[in-house]
Amino acid sequence: MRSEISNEQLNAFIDDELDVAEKDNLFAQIQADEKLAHQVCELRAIKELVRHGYAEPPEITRDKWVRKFYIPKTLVAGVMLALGLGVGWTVHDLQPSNNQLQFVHHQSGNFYPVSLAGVTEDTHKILMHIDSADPAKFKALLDDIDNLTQHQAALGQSVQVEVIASHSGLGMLRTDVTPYAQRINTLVEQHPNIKFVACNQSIQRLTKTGVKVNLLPHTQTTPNATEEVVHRLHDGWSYIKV
Amino acid sequence: MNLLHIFGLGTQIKERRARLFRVAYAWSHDRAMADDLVQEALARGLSRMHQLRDPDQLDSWLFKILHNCWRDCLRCQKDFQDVEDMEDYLYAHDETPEHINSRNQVVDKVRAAVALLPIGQRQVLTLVDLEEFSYNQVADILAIPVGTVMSRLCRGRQALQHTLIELAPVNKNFALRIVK
Repeated sequence: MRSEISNEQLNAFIDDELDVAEKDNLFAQIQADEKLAHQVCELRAIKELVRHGYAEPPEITRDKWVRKFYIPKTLVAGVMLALGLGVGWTVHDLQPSNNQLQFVHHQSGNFYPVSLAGVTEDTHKILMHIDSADPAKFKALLDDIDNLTQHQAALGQSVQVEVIASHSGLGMLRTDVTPYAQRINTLVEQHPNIKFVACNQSIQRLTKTGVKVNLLPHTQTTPNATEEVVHRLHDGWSYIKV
Repeated sequence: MNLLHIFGLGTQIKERRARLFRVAYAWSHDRAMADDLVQEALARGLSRMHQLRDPDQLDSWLFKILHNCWRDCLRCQKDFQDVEDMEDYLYAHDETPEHINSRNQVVDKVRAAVALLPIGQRQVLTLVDLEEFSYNQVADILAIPVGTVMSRLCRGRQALQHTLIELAPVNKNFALRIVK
């Protein structure tokens, strides 16, 4: 009788998996067999023990993990403050050095300063190149220089400007052609840092065609405009083509 | 399935977190891993809510998902290519840190004893004892025959009997003797 009951059946019995007839049979045998009763008892105990073992599983840890990596607000505030100060300091350092160029750029709209790659750019030295006879461009250039010098005076920083005139742009420096003779003279007299340079090659070319070239006083000459531009760029000047 | 129904089901799924976690912990005995498993199972459950045909089967459906997550997790470990083999061998430690550190407490002893079971037996045992699923439901959740459920349960309980019986309330050696 006892041998008919398998362990599986006992397990099924305590898990309430048997049908009524099987249960009937088993109850009868348990009453008759003390050993069987004891085994059922032990199995029930095991079941209860397992339940007891996991009645209170460890807390779900997600929140604690988050808290573990939680950065204190004070630290965040400190980092933000340091970052702000750092950025402010850097930008503050950068700003004055770029002021002139930004200013020119801003004022003229379509003037783009360029400098030679690999050469440390000195934004306080600006080379302006004019090769057009357009009086509007003359005016734009002179307006820019005016703005630049005013700006420089406001900032208390010195800026060197050199204006190179070549080809048709030479007209700006010729006494008999330029509409701005007086303005240029005043500019040069007031600001020793501003130079007007004429391209000798352009002068020669005009002379050959029979035109007498008379330059404004204070105007300097350079053998070749292109050469002058290249030299200046190598020295770190910023080049603006008007 | 209307929107309200889906919303209600979503809430029900989330309410199962604690139960899923208890079983996942009983399987892995690793809080972090159990937490990840439950999170993954809930995410899958919520995203595949529309696949649940019968809302009454929500529990076994969720535990089936948990079981799949657990298998995926084991597969990632790559020590065993065949998950079926693994269920009989893996995590059957001789000793666990839990066991060593806290032998004196009943709860810890039970957990340590369960941790000694092969994972296949452990899964069946926890699903039957903790979640009170029927053998058929367990067979469905773990995708194994009912006969396997019964034999695993039987072997698992035998092993536990072996390690834990002195803790059980019934002590057959307990008897008073008169000593003269």
